[in-house]
Amino acid sequence: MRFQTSDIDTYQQSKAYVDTMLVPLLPVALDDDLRQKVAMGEYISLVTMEMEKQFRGRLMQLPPLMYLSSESVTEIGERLGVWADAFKKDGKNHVIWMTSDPALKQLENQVPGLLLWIPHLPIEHLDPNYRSKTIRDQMQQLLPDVMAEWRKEDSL
Amino acid sequence: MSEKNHNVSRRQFLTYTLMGVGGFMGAAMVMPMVRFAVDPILQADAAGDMNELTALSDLTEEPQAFSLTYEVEDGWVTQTMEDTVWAYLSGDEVVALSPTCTHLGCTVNFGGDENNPDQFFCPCHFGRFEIDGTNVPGTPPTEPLHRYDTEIRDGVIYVGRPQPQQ
Repeated sequence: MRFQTSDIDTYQQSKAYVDTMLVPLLPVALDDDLRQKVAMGEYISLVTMEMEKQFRGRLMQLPPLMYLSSESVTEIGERLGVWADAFKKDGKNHVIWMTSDPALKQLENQVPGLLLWIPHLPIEHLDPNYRSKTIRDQMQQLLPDVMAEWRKEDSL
Repeated sequence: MSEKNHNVSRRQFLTYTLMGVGGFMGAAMVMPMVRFAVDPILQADAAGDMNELTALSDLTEEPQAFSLTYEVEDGWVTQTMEDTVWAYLSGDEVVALSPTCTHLGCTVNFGGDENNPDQFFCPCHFGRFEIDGTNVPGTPPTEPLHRYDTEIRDGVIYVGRPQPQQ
């Protein structure tokens, strides 16, 4: 489900079934590296959308969580911890963080929930048909990780 | 030459003329309104167009996933959408099912559950469906998978929009 009014009624009726939050993480900095940041953000948004399509009944996709590229990884990790605590209080058992940022890869084993680090592919140069196929293939590779996360009773 | 000798009096003639002209004017106003009111029905017809899925010879008794592309017009923008369709042959009959779980809309897979290789499986809440789309009692879904209308022309399968099965 998405964070939009048309999905919220369904969410409220079936809250007990939606136990996972899906949060894309987007780095922002208006520096020389801007293009790379935008490309990473675009890619991660597309993969997140595809994941929402696949598992829409069990997860709630939140708007992207932005952070400054200048922030330290520890700070970002702590912030994700705060969010995870809040989700846990609301009865959610899982969080899936989506990122392409190489700097965040080291958080993989530190943050609560599942941090999926997906290397960014330059799909903006691809033909539109081939683009959606690439995204879907990428998604297929992530499925086992998500299933493994769900096998844990409670990961937060 | 008194008025009495005419079949139609001047007064009657004017009345008829006014009624006739008024009728046309009324119709001219009401017709577009009716056209607008009926428009959704005509539109629904257009959206019910059949789209090419695959060649009939590609189908087997085992359900396979085929991708279906179709165009959706939204205002002035035409978007190409892509859906997955699970299709197989049941005797001579073509069965095409939508992969959208009838519980909360996740995507189901055929044989996704090792313990039930002949069923559709929803990974979200472990909903299961028989090969014909019937939901397995005791799992979350409460109605069968939606089924596409199919049509075969020159060995090619065309499908419409998915419809609920009774």
